[in-house]
Amino acid sequence: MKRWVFLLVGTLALASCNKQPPDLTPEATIAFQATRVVKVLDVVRDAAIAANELSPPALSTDTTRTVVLWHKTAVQVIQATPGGWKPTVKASIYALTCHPLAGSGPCTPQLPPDAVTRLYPYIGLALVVIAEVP
Amino acid sequence: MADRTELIVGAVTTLMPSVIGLVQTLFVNKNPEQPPPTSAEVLLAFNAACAKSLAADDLWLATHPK
Repeated sequence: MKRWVFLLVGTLALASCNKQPPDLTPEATIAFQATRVVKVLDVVRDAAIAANELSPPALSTDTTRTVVLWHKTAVQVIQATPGGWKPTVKASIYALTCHPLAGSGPCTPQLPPDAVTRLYPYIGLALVVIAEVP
Repeated sequence: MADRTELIVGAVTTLMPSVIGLVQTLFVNKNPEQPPPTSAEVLLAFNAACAKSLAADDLWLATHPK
């Protein structure tokens, strides 16, 4: 139940900053969309950390480390290439979870099955936001 | 249980754009007198969001060494 509340709060928070300001330069428009994606990836990372902090932990520390390292790499890619990160980040999500919205083809997720199940709603939210980026 | 979870996730994934659109309709432009951010401000916000996000990663990794 908690994760659904968290997901709803995350959705509302992201939706509140969804409206793109008018009259932005092309570079700023790309940065605006990229900022939204960074924030939704933060939601995925924070969900993993929150699950790890439960007693007993719902995600192991090793699994959480995998998520944090994935997140760090994804944000670094977005920061380095604000206009060209999408294929790389989607591929990394597919490799992490095998989520069908992120890719297709043979896939063995880097995360254990229970972690994929727990993070699935957050990954789905991230992929919805990513899909909105042109 | 897995079927139920998949059903819920599928429903959420499908409905999410509608939920976001509804929230936007309800809550966006509550303060129309507030000027929209400039391009420079958006670029600064992007760099700040990346820096804050990466700092949180580094903090967690530092406190949870392998």
